[in-house]
Amino acid sequence: MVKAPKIYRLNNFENIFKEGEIYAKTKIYTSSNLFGLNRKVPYINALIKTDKLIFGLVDDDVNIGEKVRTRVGFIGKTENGLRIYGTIWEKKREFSKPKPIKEGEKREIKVDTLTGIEGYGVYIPRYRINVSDIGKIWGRNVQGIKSFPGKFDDQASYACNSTLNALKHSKIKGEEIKFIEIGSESKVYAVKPTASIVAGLLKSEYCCVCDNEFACKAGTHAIINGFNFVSVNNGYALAIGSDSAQGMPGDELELTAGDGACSFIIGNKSPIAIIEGYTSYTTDTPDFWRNECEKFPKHASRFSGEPAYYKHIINSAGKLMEKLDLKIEDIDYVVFHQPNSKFPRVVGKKLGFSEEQIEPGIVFDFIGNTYSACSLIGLAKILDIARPWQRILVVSYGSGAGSDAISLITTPHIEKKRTNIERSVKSWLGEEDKENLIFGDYGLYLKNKGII
Amino acid sequence: MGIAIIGAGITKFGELWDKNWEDLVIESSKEASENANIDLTEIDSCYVGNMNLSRFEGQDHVAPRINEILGIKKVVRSEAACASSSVALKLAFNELELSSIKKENKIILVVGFEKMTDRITQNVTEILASASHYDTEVINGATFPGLYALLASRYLYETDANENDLHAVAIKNHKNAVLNEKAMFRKEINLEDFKIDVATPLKLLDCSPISDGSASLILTTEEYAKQLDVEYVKLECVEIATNTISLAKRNDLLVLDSAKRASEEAYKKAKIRPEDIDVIELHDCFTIAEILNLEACGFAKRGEGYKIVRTLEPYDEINKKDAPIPYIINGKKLFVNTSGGLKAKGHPVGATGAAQIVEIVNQLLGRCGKRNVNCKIGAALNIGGTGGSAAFSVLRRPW
Repeated sequence: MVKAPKIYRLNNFENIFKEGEIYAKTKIYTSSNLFGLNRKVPYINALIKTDKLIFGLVDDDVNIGEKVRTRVGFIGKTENGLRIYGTIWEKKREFSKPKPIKEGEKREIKVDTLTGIEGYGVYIPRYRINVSDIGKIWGRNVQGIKSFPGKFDDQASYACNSTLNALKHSKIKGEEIKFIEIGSESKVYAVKPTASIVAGLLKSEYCCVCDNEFACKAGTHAIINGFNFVSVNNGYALAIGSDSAQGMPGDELELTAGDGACSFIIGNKSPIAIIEGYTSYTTDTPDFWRNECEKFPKHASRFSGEPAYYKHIINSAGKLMEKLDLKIEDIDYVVFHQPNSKFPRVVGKKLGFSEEQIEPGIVFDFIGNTYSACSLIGLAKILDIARPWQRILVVSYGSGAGSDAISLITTPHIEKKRTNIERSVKSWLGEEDKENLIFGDYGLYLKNKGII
Repeated sequence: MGIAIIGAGITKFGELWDKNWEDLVIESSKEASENANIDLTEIDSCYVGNMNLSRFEGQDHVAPRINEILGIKKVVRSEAACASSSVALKLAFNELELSSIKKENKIILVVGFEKMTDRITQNVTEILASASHYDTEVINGATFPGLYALLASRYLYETDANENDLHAVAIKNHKNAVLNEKAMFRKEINLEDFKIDVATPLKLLDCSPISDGSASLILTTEEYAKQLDVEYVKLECVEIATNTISLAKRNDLLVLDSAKRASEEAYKKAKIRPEDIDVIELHDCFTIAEILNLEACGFAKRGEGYKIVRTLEPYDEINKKDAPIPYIINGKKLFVNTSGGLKAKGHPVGATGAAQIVEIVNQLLGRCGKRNVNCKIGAALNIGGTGGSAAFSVLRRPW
């Protein structure tokens, strides 16, 4: 029986958990006008052999007989601007996995609750640009790498894919999730939640969902809300930070704004890391903003450091350490928001942390600033390498301005569940499996970002 | 007693700037009525084959508009994508079979038409794609060249065929179209002309064009045709079959099962074998289609159709001959697409089925001039979509 997804039902995630091999394929150069401008040709259609033949859209150039697997992708846009998401097939590759770690010193846990992270998943597109290629166009001499979208990627597809990875890690079924909050400042709709698209993917209908926005700290805010939901209601909550970060061509932000997402499933059954507590610090500081209907944010560059980033991070982290009676040496790893390469390292030193505590959580150097996802991906990177009973301090920063500090302590579940992870965060970042990365030029970057 | 085709008319196919679809319908119908030596007012009923006038030209409810322009009082429109006018022919055939039992002398007009070039290519591609599974194939980006390219990719993977075998089909059909003044592309092509990609492995010249055109047939019973004292061709049968619209749901991707079943049924009805056919119009919307249809119609086994194409070798000498070149199957000649086929004659989708029959009628009656071949039994295979619909007709010279 053909179960046809109708256009009015829009998003179709049928076959999303399938793997198969290419049975027939074609690269189409002349497209139809359906979803007009959103078709970035040439694109590839194939028949994929699973337990049955499936017609599909393929991301990579794969040959007949090669193995493929599914993920969520942005397929196109209707005339009315409704976005259509569905299953995209991509070449199945082998990636490096997190390695098992020997036991070590055991930290003393500060709470007697079990609520914490049950699983996490990361999604970062394969595309990278050398920032020097952007600088060259605008007459700047700059260095660095950042991520940018593939042709089926956007903020919603990132959220969906990172969630699928989190489900695999935690071994929790989608319909068990009863709370979803996505932090983002590049929502695909001005009005209509991305979180409901994720809920549709998970087939979770009796679910409390919402999107939030607080510049780059919206992701940690989603974790805090998820933590509070589970503390009151039990069950599982999903907190996502997902951004296709915006930076106007020629602006400084364009040199750092990256793409990626990270999802955390929060629960109290078998957490890999227990949330010990959190604090938030907020002031009305206009360092960075985006006006209604404007495509790109603006910033008052001289506020960014001292009165904005440093002040808020130091106050929220300081307050949490005071609340939980923590000293610098009680903390194994610290993750800060990373708007650039320098700020997290400087604020870490200001707070008294050592290089060993700061460096493992650095992700900026590989993908740029992924806004709401940034500190979350940093945390995921640490969780990939953490032993049981280690303490991690996560401190986000959001312009406007505020900072959330969250203290977590890992449990023995972290090692058991690590075997569920199919791909390490280092591989997603491109720190490992570099051959998986696709380096594009400024033209491809502008096209895939939807700027041209 | 059988069914007779007493009139066949066809417009020039191509990008016809100065003619709207009504002009085309009138032109082909008049030509058919003139060579049947009757007046359009003598026609009892009319079956119209048209795929998508509503999206190409904004007009639905086609039948009454045909009534308005041709003055025929009973008009029915049929739609089966590219097989629309073959289904119209089948409906006409059924009505005549019934009237022959009732001893009525009916005359029926079958007209197929399409006006496609008023839209930009991307729009036309989108409209045509609606003949495939909209919710799975089209939404994921399928175009018709894309769907046939999937068949071609699998065919090239499973068999020893190569892209040149596909191209040879187009070279032959272009060569034939040079001899057909109604054809759209009257230009010889060579292997080195296959440069532009449409959907790998299909190149632009592997694909049939977007065209305007109309073709008409006038049918009656064989008995009445004799009374009218006009030249006619006997239409032995029109057999139609359908298959799944989705490629993914087919049992065997490389067997166009609807064409296979329609042809087998037709051979049985007409009491012939494939090797009895002298000339055939085979649906070649893409070059791979002609090869798959050779197999579906029993001229070759599954996966061996390309070996028939290779009887044209060397491919760079196809254009050296001044007459249609046949395929050689077991030492016997088979002329395929002497009109130029959909590939070079043009493919106004609703007109194609009728146009194939027009060519076979003219071949059997010796009206094809330089491209006429010696033939007694002709056939036509018309496909809708990627093989979701198929119609196979057998025609015979009555003497």
